[in-house]
Amino acid sequence: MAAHAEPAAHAEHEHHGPATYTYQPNPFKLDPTTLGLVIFLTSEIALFGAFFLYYGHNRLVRHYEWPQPGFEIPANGTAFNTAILVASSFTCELVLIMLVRNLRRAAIAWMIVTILFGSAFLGLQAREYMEIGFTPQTNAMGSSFFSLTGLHGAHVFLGINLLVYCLIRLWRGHFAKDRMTGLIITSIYWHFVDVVWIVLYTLVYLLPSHT
Amino acid sequence: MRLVILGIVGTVVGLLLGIGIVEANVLPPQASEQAVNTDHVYDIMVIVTMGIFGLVTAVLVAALVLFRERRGETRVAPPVHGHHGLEIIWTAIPAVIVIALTGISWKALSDNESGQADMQVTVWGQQFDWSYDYPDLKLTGVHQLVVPIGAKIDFDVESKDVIHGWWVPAWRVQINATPGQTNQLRVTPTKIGTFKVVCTFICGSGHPVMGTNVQGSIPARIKVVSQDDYKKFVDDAVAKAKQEASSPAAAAVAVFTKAGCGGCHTWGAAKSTGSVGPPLDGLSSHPDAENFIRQSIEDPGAEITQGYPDAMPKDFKSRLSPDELDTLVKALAGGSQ
Amino acid sequence: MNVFLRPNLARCLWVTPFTSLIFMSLTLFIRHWVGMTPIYDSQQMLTVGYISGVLGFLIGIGAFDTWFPWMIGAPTRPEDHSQHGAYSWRDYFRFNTDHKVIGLQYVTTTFIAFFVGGMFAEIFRAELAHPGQDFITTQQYNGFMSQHGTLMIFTFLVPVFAGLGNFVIPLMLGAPDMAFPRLNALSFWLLPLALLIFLSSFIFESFEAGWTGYPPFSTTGPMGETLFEIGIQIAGASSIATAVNFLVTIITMRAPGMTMFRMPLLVWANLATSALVVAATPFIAGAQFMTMFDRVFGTQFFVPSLGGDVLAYQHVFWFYSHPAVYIMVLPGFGIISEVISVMARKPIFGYRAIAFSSAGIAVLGFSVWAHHMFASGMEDWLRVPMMISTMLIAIPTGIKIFSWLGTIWDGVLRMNTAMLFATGFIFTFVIGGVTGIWLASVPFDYHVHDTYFVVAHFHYVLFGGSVMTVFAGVYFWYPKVFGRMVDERLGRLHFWSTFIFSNLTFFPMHWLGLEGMPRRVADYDPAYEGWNTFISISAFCLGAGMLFFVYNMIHSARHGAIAGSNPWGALTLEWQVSSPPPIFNFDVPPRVVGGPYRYGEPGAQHAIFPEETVPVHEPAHV
Repeated sequence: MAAHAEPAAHAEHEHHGPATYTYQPNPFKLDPTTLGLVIFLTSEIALFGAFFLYYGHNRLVRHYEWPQPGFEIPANGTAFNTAILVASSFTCELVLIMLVRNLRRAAIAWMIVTILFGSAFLGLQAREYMEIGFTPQTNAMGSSFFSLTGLHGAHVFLGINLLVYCLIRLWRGHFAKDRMTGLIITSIYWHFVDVVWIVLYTLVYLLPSHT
Repeated sequence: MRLVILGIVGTVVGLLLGIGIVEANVLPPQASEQAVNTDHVYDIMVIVTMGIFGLVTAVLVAALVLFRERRGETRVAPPVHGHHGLEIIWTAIPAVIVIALTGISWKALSDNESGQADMQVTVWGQQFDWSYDYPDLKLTGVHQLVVPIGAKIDFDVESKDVIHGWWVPAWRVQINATPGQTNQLRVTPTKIGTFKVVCTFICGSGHPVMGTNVQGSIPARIKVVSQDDYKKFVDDAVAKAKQEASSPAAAAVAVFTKAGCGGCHTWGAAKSTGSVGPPLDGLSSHPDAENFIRQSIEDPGAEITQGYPDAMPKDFKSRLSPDELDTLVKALAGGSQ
Repeated sequence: MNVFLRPNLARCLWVTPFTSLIFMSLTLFIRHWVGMTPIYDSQQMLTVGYISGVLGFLIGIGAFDTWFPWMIGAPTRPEDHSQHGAYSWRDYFRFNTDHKVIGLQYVTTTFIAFFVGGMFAEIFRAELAHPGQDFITTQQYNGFMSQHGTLMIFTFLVPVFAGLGNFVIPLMLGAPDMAFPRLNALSFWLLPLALLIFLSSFIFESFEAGWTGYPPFSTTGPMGETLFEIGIQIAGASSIATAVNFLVTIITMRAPGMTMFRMPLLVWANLATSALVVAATPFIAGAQFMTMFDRVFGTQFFVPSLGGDVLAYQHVFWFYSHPAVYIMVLPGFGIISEVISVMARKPIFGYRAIAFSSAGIAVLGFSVWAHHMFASGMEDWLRVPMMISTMLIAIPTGIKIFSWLGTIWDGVLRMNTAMLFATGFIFTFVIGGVTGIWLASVPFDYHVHDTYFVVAHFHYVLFGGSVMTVFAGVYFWYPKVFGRMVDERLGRLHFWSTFIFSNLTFFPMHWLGLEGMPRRVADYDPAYEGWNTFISISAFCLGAGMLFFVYNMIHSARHGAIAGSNPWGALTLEWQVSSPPPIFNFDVPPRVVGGPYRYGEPGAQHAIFPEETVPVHEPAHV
């Protein structure tokens, strides 16, 4: 760990890597990778924000009807989907808790459950798409609905991919109590996906069908 | 201190410069109440902000001259990190200035839009021409807008296709023609004369010709006339509409004008001079005139005349009613009368 | 390994079309299976082909080389720094994780975009020199005009500061690199892709709806518009990734002792800008998704007859695009603070005011977007609040200008090329700022909106503003990057030519707009001919002056006078290492003991290198 005892200003030297560093402490008690993910998730919130802005503008400023006359939003049916997704967030957290206690098998089991819940959510949403009675091409509110839920679905799909990679690595024993950044990142992302759904469900399904 | 004197001198020079810009008067002559209010705001803004510009430039140039490093210079700059008083002043004064300018603008805006309208005209923007409807008089598709002096007019601006911008520089008012909604504009003309209209929003290959005086455009103008002349215009227009109902040739010209064809095509009957597309006089000599003309309108892309761009809007089939289409086709095919 | 199998541009040559073909075939298959006719839809093919081509290119260049093992659970290779650092010219053409290499890659690519976009402007200025259609059609004009704005904004001004910051900021912080070097490299490689996507639209019929891409013209217009929409996404992704990198680096990788208020102002500027990028860029991505879906999938976002709302696009679009102008200028403000303080050998006047005003502009910048929409027919009640917030944003900007003047006043001014650009910037930017205040006034805006007055305003703030700061930064840090000094005579020629001709080109546009000339027109009322000819000639001279710059940059890299580590006698950390810096920046990590602008204070230090017995302070006056 000895630093090179050389003066600062000289011609290039080959190094085996940078010198060892301790940095100025920062107010966020997060490691850089997690901080990076959280900042990235802010941009994802903004991306959903763009579509919510479109939806909100049409609903609140232009007063377009939602649900559209003659169509029903399956708020009750989708409540079940929502419950599954929320449950998967809890099971995802359980994976971390189990791993911290060194219970690798339990962690793998809960990860499989999480992936199953997530896939079930996607499957049920796909069925809802086919049964809902309108398409993205029907009209603007249809486009808005499908783009919002579709964007979310794409994020769920990506999340399931990340969970699968984590499952593979869990299986191979890559993660340990003090070495699970990848798992933490994935679980934060999964929680984010869940929270976005809760907001989406409330604004697009629940409130419009009960007011 | 010399900085203060410099600042004052710079500000004064700037103010004089601002007055000079205002006096130079590059704006078109004022032809509406809105123009007067807007120009008033412009005058104040120019003079005040030019004062700030003068201040900044004077200090900047003086500093560059006075404090430039000379050869063999040994002076060390004083390690001044700031000055609270100065920083407060140069935050507070600009704040006061912008708040004042906001207030003046707000007042002018509400003056410009206040009061009840005396009449209403609908403005239609389309690729690539303007046309006007007078709902009260049941007149539609009027090409040359005529309005009386002194009337508070509400213009309802709409679009038939993409976004356009309806701007009358002499009136200092502008608003977009946005498809799917009606945008309202208020004007009270105060000068008699002919004034030009300009399209300000990129709308396609014919965007430049929707402005007056551009080569090949039908002059898109507005005429402001006296109250008596306006009555005469109204009577004439109503009579002409009756005539069009019975004269196919005049009706064809009305369709031609309403659809904005003249923006791109020259046709003697309609007195248009557009040159983006091929001329339409003499089409009667074409072997299969009516079918050819009909196809050219309904499916312009099918056959492009050599030397001209594929720029004609492709939706005229849905824009024109079958009757309008028939009338137009027959007139174009039947000779250049 | 064979050259076509190693991660490099050669591999991209086959992986890119290969991936495109796979996905395009997949699309045809899906359309057939679902029963959509006709099976071949040109818009969808174009979209799928291009997006999968981007993916293929990234695979080819090696962006996923560490991801694939991770995904399949294979043991990840320990970092051997083989992708890091430039040992030969070849290293600049491959996936490289060294921020210094990436910085140079960025700046070179963005300048290529600058010159290409500038060429387009010269082409249409030639057409506009006289009224009437001379040698290009209106459609071609619309295409060149749209490409000019798009290239200048998305492939020059937004990324060039990412590039300059990439090179300088880790050094300024005392860090060995950015927080995420591989992500950094990915950010860079997305940029030439975006540039190529925009330019390739000329093959299909260039997009014509301007850089703003408003529907319905953008949803019904020429084929190339889809490529505009895709290119924006790619450029936006690049921008966001860099911003995340900057934020994490600045927050977590400062040298010990560098508290927030001991950071150089360029770092503050990039912090504020990166926060803006992260929060705002997704909105333009969303807007382009919506127009793209309308074009490719037949959605009805912007089809009024089916409930679509054309204004919604404008709100979503400008919610990004207004903060975008601050993204394009805030880092430039940071550069000016650095250059002025060093060249005047005087502390920055009002450090905290400048730092806080950057943050203030970033926040306020989100509240003004609808001032671009005063004449759009938007909700009436929104106009006055937007006017108020727009007027208010002049205040933090004014604070900066006055603070810089306070720095220059009573300094000892070295008027080299960097300082000339920095001071010239103040003059031209204030002009642009002043006309911005006029435009904030709603009744005045009703007269000049979408006219040459607006064109004048934004060229004054973007060219007379941002571009001047870019040149100031390039001339300032050139010795650090290349280890050689630029030719000052050529630099002065470049400056004066740019300063004089940019004013001559853009100032008359104010009058043209006030008199009645609209913007984005290929032809105009012959009454405006005089000024248009004058502007065109000035624009040609402006372009010609850039040749001094190009020659200087290339020639000085080999033949310039050798620069030591600190030719300007500056205090910030990048000047305390060799020029060019060592591969990992600091052989000995620095320790910050004071602010970065302590010129004139006897014995004051910004940083020391603890292993040395003699602490580093300002070298003898050069």
